[in-house]
Amino acid sequence: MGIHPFIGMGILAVAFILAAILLSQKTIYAEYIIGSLGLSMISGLNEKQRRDFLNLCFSTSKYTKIRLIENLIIISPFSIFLFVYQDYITAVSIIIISAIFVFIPFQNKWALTIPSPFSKYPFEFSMGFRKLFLVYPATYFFVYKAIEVGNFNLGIFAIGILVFTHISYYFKPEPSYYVWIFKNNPQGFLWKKTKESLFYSSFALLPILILLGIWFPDKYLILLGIFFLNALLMTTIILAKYSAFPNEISLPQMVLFGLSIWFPPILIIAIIYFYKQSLKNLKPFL
Amino acid sequence: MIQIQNLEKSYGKLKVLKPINMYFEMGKAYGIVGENGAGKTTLFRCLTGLESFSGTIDSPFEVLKNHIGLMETNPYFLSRVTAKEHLQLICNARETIVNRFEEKNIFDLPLNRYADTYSTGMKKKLALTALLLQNDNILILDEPFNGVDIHSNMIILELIKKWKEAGKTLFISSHIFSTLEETCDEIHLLKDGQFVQKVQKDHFHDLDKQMREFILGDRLKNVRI
Repeated sequence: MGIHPFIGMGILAVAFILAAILLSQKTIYAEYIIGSLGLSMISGLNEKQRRDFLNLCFSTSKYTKIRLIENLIIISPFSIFLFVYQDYITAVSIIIISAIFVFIPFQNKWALTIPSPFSKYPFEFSMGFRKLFLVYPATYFFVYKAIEVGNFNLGIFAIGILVFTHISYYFKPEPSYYVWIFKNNPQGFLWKKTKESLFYSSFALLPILILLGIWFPDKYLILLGIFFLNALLMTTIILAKYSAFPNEISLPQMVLFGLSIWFPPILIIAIIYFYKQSLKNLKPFL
Repeated sequence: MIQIQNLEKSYGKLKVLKPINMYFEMGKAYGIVGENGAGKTTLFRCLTGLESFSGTIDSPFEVLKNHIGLMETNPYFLSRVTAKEHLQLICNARETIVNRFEEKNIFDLPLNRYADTYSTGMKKKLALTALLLQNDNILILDEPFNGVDIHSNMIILELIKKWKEAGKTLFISSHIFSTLEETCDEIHLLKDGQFVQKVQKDHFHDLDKQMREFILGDRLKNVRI
């Protein structure tokens, strides 16, 4: 069932190349952004539980080899792209850093509780914020740079990072208990989840939109459009998540979501389709 | 009254619950005992609606699961979510308002720590604390005494007594008979997915003997040490 892994990998590779080309056309900071994205993906492989499991299964030398290979596989598309764009220093740097990551047990340092501004309505935003909290200062840094150098596109890119970070909070389904516990019916449950995500994503996004609106007043319509597009995308990803529940979002669903981003009018069809599927899948639990 | 009729559950070819027909009165405490794999947890998950099943469960409530509080054998907590946030999540989901979680923290848990970093016993205590906030009519406690320290066991025992006094319907699975004897009105024995024996409170004094016969049988007759 589903799409063949090779086709899936092909789609991902094409999507990556297109996104990277688009990024390099839009901003002069593309190499740093691509490098940072690559390294942030590696950090996910360095979780304590995962490391402990690998340590238990393999000898120290094999563990080191496995972790090195994993990190190099993940970083290679980012590095290759940077080599092609002749940014050799960043390309080599991220390879070296990814190798060093093998020997740095991050989790021990980050095991302390990170305060979250999203604690009132747990869990997606508070959990995601703690996982990717570095994205927030990075985004605000890009916005600062955008204002400093007068590059509106860089500001838009910073917003894009934030929106996609928020979207990523909804990729994985929670255990069915965390849906079952709600007193609402499926419609009420979806509305509650959507409300929370719109509130929190707007809370994180509005200061950036306001700042860009002040410095680039002629672009207010674009910023307003982005605000509404964010609301639509957040709604769609929530519905996509529960349309696959209790399983993870499948590749065809992700493709439909991806197409919606590329051509927003598709969002209307996607929302209707995902909503109907979500109601069907949530009914046994609610 | 909760009336279970022809409740069956299979995982593929494996029949975990054979047709179960049983009724449970509201406001009573029921002990469910049985060997590992007898079907206790599956029965509880069917009662809550977390597992699909064939058969029917009738209750005085329109949506039964909205009146059930569940403490699973191994409660699962989301990563990077503090214990306090977990309690907040439960309150949001159950639409209850609690101003100070610290007042309900009867086990003195470190509420600002990530709940998934808790030990097994602490996770159970947190799940019980969450039940305290929910104010449900029916409580299902799947092995509440396992893996919990002696002090907390005493608190849990008193908590169960308080819930019983408040008229809650309780389903408790446990391997520790003394705790069930002290708290339950009836004890039901589950074997191979079927209820095989029911012991009323008046006959609890015979329970130990009955259980020995039921569990041991001729099992150790030919064992020489």
